[in-house]
Amino acid sequence: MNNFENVEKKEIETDIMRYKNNSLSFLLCVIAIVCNVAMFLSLYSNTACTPNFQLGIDLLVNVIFLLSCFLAAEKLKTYNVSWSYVAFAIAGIEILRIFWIPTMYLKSGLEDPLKGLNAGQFTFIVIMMVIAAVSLVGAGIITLIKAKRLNAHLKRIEEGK
Amino acid sequence: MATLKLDHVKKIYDGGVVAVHDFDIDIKDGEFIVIVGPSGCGKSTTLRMIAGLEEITEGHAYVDEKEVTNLASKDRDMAMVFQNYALYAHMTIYQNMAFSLTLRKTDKIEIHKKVMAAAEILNLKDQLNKKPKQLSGGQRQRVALGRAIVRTPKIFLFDEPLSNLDAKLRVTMRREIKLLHQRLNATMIYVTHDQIEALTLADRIVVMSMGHVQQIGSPLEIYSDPNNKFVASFIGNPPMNFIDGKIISDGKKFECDDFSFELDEKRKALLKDYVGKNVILGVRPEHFQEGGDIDAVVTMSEHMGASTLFHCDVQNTHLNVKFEGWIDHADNEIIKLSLKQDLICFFDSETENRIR
Ligand SMILES: Nc1ncnc2c1ncn2[C@@H]1O[C@H](COP(=O)(O)OP(=O)(O)OP(=O)(O)O)[C@@H](O)[C@H]1O
Ligand SMILES: [Mg+2]
Repeated sequence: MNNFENVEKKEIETDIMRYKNNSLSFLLCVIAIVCNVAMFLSLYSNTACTPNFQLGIDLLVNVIFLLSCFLAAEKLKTYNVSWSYVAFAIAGIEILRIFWIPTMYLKSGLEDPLKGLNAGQFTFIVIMMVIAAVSLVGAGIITLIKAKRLNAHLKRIEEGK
Repeated sequence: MATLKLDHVKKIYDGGVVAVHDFDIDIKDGEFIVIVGPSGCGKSTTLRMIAGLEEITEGHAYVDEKEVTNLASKDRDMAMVFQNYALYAHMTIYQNMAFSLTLRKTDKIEIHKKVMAAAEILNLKDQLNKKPKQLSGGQRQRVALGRAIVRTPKIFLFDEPLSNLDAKLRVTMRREIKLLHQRLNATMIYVTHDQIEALTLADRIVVMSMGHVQQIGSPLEIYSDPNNKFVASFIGNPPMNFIDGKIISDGKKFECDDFSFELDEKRKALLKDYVGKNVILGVRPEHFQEGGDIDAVVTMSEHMGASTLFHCDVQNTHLNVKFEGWIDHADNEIIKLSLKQDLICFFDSETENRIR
């Protein structure tokens, strides 16, 4: 394939975005949601987690996380740039959360296995949270790149008219 | 682009209903064929046999000289457009148009080019991100056309594609289909029960009745030179007047219950075998002229702008008479009529075939 064909192919791929959703970013957001659900199902199923104020707040954070992830999925689907930054923010919060409830329960679990998480469970939870965060960052970056291409393309069309 | 040949095709449904008898036609590359006839005459059945959606009971079908009689529908490379559009409600217009190609795993760049080209032709570029329910009836039908176009089929088949649209839109869409045909230069077969569509669109018209092909010919041939009484009555609006009568005075005169007239030389020669026999006279409303010795009483007049239609009685014989322009005759006024003999037809009263 020569250079000209390559350019033309790129051009058409960009044009297709006018009529197709950003389904890759959408998919990544859904992965983040799924990982987060797996994470808290695993965490809350630990008998050491007894209802208290901190856990209540964490529950709330989880609900907000799921909600904003869902909104981000819908917005990124339509190449919305501002929501890529929201996705980065949610990812950042997800990373910070690792050092709060899971780490707290890991500490108490290391002292007494009946009072907290064992190492295996902790690793699973961390992996889930990291995947969720990475997916969100990925979704955001992809949207930024695609939206830039799409907007430049739309501008060219506009000027061409 | 393709030719289609139907070789004595016949369809018998399971219950023994013979829906199509002996359909025989050679369709040229790029020809626009319209199959027309009253409801239940076997038009859709014929089209579905061509598409491969219905088995051919007897006879053969050939596309580009290659036999397709027993080929599955999907291998025939034809695209069909239905009356009820059959769009997918949950997909955008773009996805609807791309769908058949996506199914065939066509390269997405290729799909995009084809969809955009079709959207350009059909003027749908601004609608591609909408869902079908956000479009008007005419636009939806254009999407259905688009879905056929992107497949670049050998033959386009249409089954009454415009009958769900209102009268005005039908006129517009009719023109668009005509333009589409000129632009794509594709072979198209179009089924309708609307004679105006048939006359305006077709290169050749096939008139069917009760499963039989009555006549195949250009619109002008069908209109001015019908094979039999059925074709004459089906094409033309208002319809042809039919008057039962007899050839008398050694073949010099036509006489019916209520009037008679002298035949000219050509008519005498034409009817020389029918002296003393019953015939049916067929005369179109526009083939009367004022002046003559038929006294007709006007019972009602309809002004249609460019022409005026009079409902007249010659004693017990009812006639529709049409004159050019805006003409006023009061009800019950007597007008004198004669016939443009060059343009009238005679039919055998037993076989109802044209006397030629
Ligand atoms: N599946 C079937 N089984 C048995 N008889 C059928 C079947 N489909 C159609 N017929 C009969 O075949 C004849 C022709 O039907 P067809 O649908 O071809 O008519 P058509 O000319 O398309 O009429 P319309 O203008 O109403 O659509 C009719 O008498 C009909 O009852
Ligand atoms: Mg039909």
